[in-house]
Amino acid sequence: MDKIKRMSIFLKYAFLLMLLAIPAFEFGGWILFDGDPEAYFVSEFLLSFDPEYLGPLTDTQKALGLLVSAPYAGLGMYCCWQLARLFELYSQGLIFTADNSACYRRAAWALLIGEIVFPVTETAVSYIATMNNAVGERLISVTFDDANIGNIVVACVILAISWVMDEGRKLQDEAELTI
Amino acid sequence: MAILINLDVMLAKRKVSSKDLAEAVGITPQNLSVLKTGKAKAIRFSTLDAICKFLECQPGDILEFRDEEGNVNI
Repeated sequence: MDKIKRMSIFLKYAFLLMLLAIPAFEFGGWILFDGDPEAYFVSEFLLSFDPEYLGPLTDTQKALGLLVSAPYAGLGMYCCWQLARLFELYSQGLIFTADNSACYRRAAWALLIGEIVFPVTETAVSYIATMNNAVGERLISVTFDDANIGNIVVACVILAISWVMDEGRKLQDEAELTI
Repeated sequence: MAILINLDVMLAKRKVSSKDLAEAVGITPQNLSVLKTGKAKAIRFSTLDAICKFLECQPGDILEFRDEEGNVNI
């Protein structure tokens, strides 16, 4: 149990750090982007762009880019928040509780919805980032690759784990009420 | 719940306190309270055996079945 508690404390803070890092990098990625795809701060949605279509963005483009990528970032933050809460419960020694399975379930749904939102966001970003380009250099790209499929599989696995955890919680409740 | 626990009745008949019974059976007073109030989901044979031994009674003196209308069907 000590091993679980120690690791859970570490993971709780790691997810809290990620919770803060996601908006910081998302904001920095859009606001500080200077047209160089090799720069440190680049929104992950711009990383897939061919550099020849990507140049310095106007403030309007940056604001729109930030706006359309916010829901995806928000889902990522929500997922991190649920995982931080889950490991907080584990660090308190609470293993099979309704809250634990709810955290798993919410994180899985956030991940799953995120993978539905991702291609829509990327399409919108491709339009926004190239809307001021010359005719013939404007893009609308729709991407759905093996990474998205992998994340959907991971989300489904976590969802299944949440149901298993809930069954475990029911068994524990029953065991506690067996005299 | 269709199964009723008549432990209070047996304790009163034998003039035994809950605390003494809990000690004799080897369960906590809290767990005995869970059993008495009918919140328990199951009772171990070993617990039932110890209760019956201490109170000198049969399991039927402690456990009673009643249907939804409250009738005893034998």
